[in-house]
Amino acid sequence: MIKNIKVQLFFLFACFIFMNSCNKDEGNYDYVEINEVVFEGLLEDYTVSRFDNLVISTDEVKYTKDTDGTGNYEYSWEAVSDNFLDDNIYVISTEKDMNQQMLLKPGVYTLFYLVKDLNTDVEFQYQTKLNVVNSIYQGWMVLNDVDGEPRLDMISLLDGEYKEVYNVLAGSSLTLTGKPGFVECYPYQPSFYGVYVSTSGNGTTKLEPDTFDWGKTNNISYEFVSSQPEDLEVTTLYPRGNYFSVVMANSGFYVYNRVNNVYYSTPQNVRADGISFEVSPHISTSESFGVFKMVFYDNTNKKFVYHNNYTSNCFDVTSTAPVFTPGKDLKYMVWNSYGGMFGTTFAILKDPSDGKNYIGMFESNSFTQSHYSEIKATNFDQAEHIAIDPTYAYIMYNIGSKVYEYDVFTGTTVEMLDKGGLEITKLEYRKFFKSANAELAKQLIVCTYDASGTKGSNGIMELYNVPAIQGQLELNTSFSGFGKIVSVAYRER
Amino acid sequence: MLICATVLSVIACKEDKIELFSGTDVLYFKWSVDGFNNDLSNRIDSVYVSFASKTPDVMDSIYNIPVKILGNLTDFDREFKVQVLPTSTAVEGVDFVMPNNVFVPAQSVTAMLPITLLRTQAIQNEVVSIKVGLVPNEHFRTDYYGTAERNEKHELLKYNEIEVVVSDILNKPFWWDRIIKFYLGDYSRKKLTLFATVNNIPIPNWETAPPSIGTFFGQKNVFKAYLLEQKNNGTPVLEDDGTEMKLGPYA
Repeated sequence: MIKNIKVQLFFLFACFIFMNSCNKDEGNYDYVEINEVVFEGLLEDYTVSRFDNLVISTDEVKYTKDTDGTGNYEYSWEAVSDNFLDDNIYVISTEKDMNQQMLLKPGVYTLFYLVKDLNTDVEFQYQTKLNVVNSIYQGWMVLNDVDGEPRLDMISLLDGEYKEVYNVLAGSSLTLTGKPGFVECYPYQPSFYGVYVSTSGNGTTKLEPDTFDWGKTNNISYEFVSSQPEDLEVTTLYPRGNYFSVVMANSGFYVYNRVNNVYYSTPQNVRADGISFEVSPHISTSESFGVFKMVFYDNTNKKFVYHNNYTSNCFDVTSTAPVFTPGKDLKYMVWNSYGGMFGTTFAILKDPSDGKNYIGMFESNSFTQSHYSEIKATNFDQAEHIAIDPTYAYIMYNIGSKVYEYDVFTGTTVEMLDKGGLEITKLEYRKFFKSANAELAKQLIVCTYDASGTKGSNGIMELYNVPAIQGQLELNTSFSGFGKIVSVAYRER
Repeated sequence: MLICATVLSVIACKEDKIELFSGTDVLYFKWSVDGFNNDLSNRIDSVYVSFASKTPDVMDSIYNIPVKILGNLTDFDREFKVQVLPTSTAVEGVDFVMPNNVFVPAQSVTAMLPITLLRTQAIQNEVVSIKVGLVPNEHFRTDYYGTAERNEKHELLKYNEIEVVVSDILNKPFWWDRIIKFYLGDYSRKKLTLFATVNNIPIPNWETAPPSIGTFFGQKNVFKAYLLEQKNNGTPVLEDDGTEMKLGPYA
């Protein structure tokens, strides 16, 4: 009985549904055509280097009714990541035409161009692909002073060519403040290549190597085992090798040597008995031979000392060669690859008793002196920046806008450059870890600054080839558009 | 059928009033019912508190024990009473301090019993036990008993009593003689504590795991530099027996 009722009910319902389903919808609408957007002249994909401007013209985009395009529209360019980097919607521009610096991280995005007709409130959208290409892979990092503010630029190697990329921290969570200190690069850990930047406002910190993103645990204070202020500012960072470096801070130096389980902890400018001394900021660290000693100068007792890379104090140099005679003031010291596989430590010393300057060259493991002579270079006491050529052992120095080259073996000084009204802000040779960059290590870096130029683009960095027998310097490459260059370093790959 | 359904649906929704709970509310220690940190697998009526990992500047610590009610919310604060049980080995005023007035706040089902634990010299050698029981008053009954057992023991958990065992015993950690001694020398409580103090870290736990070597070397250097500095200043650090504090052969 119940079954019969169910079946009957089912048929009844089915009949109702069938009766209704085929009714024609008469409708009572007026179909009025609205103004539509016709997306023409736009590509199916766009490629832009990060930090470059993405430029897309919408001149050929047409409107079906509003033929001269003078209507009331709202525009938006929005991107979402295709690589699942995140699920943010990035609004890049709200202008009709796209012309905006690309700050998105490298990756593939879907780019939407949204046009809303405010008369009808109807929105039209165009969808395209956007490839953001990494523009900060390898190259020179340049820290400048722009009207008293720090700015980090890069000379980026892209497709075999170097190209200036300005303000690479635009879009990063790190905003540089205060007085610019330095930029430095070296492999901090196997999984973290360190691109360090230091200012009086931020302290010393490193950037995420591929994106230049930043978090406060990137601060160098987190690399210390001893407790330090969170925004510790070190005055210098000397890369020694892979996962091996020396920093100067709080008028002392600290050593990080991962292979020997040595982390920055206590100031190392102490003798074994715990008595500390004032250490010179000039140090010599051979970067090719990590087992070699590191050479420091004890300003308190006016003598060379060394650090054996792991014991937490310094040792006296026992060699009695003339360069090691105590009592002089150290003006400059550097290690470079001159003189074969072990390289050479160069020390420029001034004897306070007679005011004479001396150059000493020695090998920094056995402390064997290879050269020692009085420097007779023209007006050497007035030298502002000093650099030592790793190929010919020339002393390069500048007085005002003039660059001189002094041959320590012949005692000859030759004027090499005259920059006229420009100020020389840097004269330096850089050390490189990768043999592919060996040629760059031989080039003299000269940075100049035009005080009368436009702020932020009045700094130039030039690289010069240094010929033999004191031939005139040859300009190799020149980069411009910087502020007053304070520090340069090379981000290697 | 349709009529049947209609009639059924009309009578189905008749309101059925349920009588609310009445009677005096019950107060109990929350951890024995809800578990420590609301972890039901960890229902406890005693806790162990150690000062050993704290640097010497820590002289006391406030330990909050939650209580909870079974019953109604009220719109006024309700005082509850606790007493120190005679089985305690700790002495009130010497080893710990308890507030005179504790209450369950209005509109709340829980409250805290704050016990201030004092770091005495005595607990460096022997633990003390604070046993506290809830006492009934005009607001609360405390005769709540359950069938739950202590972890892995066939003893019933107490809902109205709690024991706090306090210690400051810092024994030579397991890894001291295996690694640490070569750098820091012979063990003393003073040395381990000073090591932590000068490094501005909690007292390291080298009982269950050896130190991370790089960090330890750095901290050893900080400690070594401190000892040398004190010595050079003419105030060498002494052990409790008056001898100079010495590091190990590889320091």
